[in-house]
Amino acid sequence: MIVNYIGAFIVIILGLYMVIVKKNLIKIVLGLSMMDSGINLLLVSFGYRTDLGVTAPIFDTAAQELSHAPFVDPVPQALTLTSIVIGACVTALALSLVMKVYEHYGTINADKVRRLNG
Amino acid sequence: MEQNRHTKNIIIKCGNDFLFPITLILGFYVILHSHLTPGGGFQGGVVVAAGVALVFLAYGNEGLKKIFPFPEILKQTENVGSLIYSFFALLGILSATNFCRNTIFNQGTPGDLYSSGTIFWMNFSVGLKVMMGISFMLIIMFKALDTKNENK
Amino acid sequence: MKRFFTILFLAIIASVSFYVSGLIYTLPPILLNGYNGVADIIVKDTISKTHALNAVTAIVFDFRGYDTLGESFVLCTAVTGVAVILRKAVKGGRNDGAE
Repeated sequence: MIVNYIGAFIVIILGLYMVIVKKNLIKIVLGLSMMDSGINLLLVSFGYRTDLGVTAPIFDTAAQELSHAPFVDPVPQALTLTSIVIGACVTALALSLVMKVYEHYGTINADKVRRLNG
Repeated sequence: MEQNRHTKNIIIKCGNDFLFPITLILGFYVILHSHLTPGGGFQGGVVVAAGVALVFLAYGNEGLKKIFPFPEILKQTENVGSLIYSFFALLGILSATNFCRNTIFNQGTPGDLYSSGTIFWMNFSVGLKVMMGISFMLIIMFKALDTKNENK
Repeated sequence: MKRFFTILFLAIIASVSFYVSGLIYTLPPILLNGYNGVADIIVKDTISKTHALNAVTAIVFDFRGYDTLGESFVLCTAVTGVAVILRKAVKGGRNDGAE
């Protein structure tokens, strides 16, 4: 459905706006995480089929006898699992770096952490 | 201020005492039934690791130190999980086919709990890995926020 | 001035992405050798090759198990990286002087 595509693109563009414009380091990391969410939504939405009576790709007792199983595309869902885990790992590493920056500089304003200190 | 913190701790403490065993059991259920219902190793592991965050919210760093006195054991268990995954992936090479091949798949009818060969064991090892890894990461991050014995 | 150029750049990206999403939505389905793409081959062979009822788990752990091995490696690296970066904060304060 086209609403999914437009919504996913809006989330990606808002995340990009937060990375470009904001000055607080934690808000920049939050924008990175928002971009990950938007891309995962776009990846899962590519697999939707517009036939009649398509369901989630789990074989219950009714679908095992059919020769042609009416499922949505399960391959993008499998690729999205990996992408979510990698996004969470990147966010964790970025947040621990922000903790070290605060301990060294005393501030988390991106305009003030430019010079090498001590 | 002190009275406010005392009241908030009572509510969260009682909630944690009720919800922590339920979280553990739900996480293990989602890990075990991965080839029958939606879910799997990654999802179940994160559900169990959310229980550790719940314990930190209720009891603080002292309670976390009482329940997990040796965090290094968690990291060693994650390495063991990774080795189990590699061992079951090497079973394909030992039977003259490609890497990561399901060679013991006909050991039960579809629909049983132990039915789909290497998928069951690989899934269990990935669930162990995610559980222990994310709990260890959360414990390290919560220890770094300790402001009681910080010497400036 | 800088704010105006930022919003103009984001508006151009937004309009291009909406146009591309309208084009993707009207793609015809693939039909090659009687199958409807890779997903059709996998769904028709899931129960006979692996006795699993969950098609997504069968893809992640059996048909594409090598990607899951690489992803566990990324998880291990991230946990080690966090433990190394936050080492001095866990031990309690900075060590002054030469080590």
